[in-house]
Amino acid sequence: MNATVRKLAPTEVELDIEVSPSDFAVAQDRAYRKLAGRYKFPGFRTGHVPRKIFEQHVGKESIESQALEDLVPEVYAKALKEHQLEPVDRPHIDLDRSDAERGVRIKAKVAVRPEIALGQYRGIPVKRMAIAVTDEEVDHSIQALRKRAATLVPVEERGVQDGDTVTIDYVGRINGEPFEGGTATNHTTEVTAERFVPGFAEQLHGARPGDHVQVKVTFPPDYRAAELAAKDAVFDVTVHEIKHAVLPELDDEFVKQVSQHETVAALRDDVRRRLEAVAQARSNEDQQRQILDAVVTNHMIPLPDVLVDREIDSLVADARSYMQRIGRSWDEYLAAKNVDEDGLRAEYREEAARRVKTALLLEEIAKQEKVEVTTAEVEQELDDMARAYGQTRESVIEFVRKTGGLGPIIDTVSRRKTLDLLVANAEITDAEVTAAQIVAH
Amino acid sequence: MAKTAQDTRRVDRSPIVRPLVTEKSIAQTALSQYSFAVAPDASKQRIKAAVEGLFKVKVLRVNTVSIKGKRKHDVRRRMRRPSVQRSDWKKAIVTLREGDKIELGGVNYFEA
Repeated sequence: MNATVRKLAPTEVELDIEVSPSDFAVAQDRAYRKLAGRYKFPGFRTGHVPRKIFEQHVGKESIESQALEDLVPEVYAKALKEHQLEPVDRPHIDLDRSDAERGVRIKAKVAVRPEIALGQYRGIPVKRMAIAVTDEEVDHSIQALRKRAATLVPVEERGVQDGDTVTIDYVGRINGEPFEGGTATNHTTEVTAERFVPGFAEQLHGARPGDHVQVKVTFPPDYRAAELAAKDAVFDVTVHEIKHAVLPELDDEFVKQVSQHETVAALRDDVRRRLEAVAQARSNEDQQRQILDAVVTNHMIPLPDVLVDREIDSLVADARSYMQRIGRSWDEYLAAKNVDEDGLRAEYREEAARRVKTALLLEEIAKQEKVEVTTAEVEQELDDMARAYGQTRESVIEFVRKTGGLGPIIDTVSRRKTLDLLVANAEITDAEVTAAQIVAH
Repeated sequence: MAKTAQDTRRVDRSPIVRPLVTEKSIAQTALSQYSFAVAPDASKQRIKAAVEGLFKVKVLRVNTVSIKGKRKHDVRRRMRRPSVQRSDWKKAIVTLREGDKIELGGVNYFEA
């Protein structure tokens, strides 16, 4: 076998593989032995028919094509190894056997990983957000705990106030016509501005049980049901019941009920620790994002179209399954975004290219820095997965076996280790902002 | 024995029915022995003459064996007599002078 490479594009090569007549003859002989076992000839035991007689009856062509079928993948793999090519797609293969006496020529066109000349990826300047948690943030979390444990007490002697829970009937009309989703009976909800169309909650204030109220609102222009956006609507509302949330006292008794802690102070400490852990995680994520942004901008690499297209496919698939999960049809979604599927794919292209580029760069850096994944680390990852999904280790292993083996897991671990390495080597300065502020931003 | 293509047409080929192409017969070609199905009444002398005339080879020896047809059960003949008598036949194993070969229709069936 003799193989030469020709570069067609930065991410595409053509392999020209020549198989010598003697190699081809060997392959044909193997192919004949394989095929002979599939036919029965009178006078011969299965598989014992001489080649000449086999060729007379079945034809030389079937031996040749079987030989090529076995030979092509073998020499293709060998040629890749010889030239250290990393294909990212299946090859397009052209065969030239015009001169069978002189063997076979195989031309394989295939997309390969681009060669990446790594630039700066160490010492990237990064702003680290402070992860300190303020007393107000702790108070806020504890307030949420109390709210969850609140008891609802019916209110008779006053009208609706902000924060009350009400049971109401309502019929909404636009231009006098009831519209879809605008009508409900015995609907129980909390009266807070966020839960309603702007202006709705305020107009309920002061209403007493048994009252009828007419609420006039205008849907915001970016309302999620597009057909309602920016429309004026009138709701006839009947208030049945008002309940007032009574928060439990914040004392050790309450703490014992809602947590494993004994005292208010212990609960506060625990809440603070959790908030700090969340802030720490966000801070780390933010640092990684800053580094990746910088590394991606620092490098220009040609991206194989197949990889980008595959990434677009997976983005579209994600969007589709998300829509399915929240119970909206795909066509509805496309209509709401006012694009067709091709348009959507075009929109995704930039993001997909960025992801492919990031992945290629991280893999290259991992190679450069000799990031290795040990068996112990893979074991650890499997344990973590089991814990995260609340499954047994065995069922996780079973799942991994069914969905592409350990490869993707090793990639995940390697990627994480590479990111850690980048963060460890970054030029970090502390920023004034806290994690909470970043999130709010 | 200068025989030409003209001569082969005058050869009496009646003793020979067909060549036998089987695993065994092909194995025997290594010993310069070639097998044929021949007419049940063919003599060794006539077989020798026919093979020499048709294939232009020198025959050293002819061995023959008469083979009784088997009685076979034919499941497709349930309504009639289901058992069938296969024909009797005769096999000839012809030994050639070393180096002589037999080919059929330009193809050497007898060689692996």
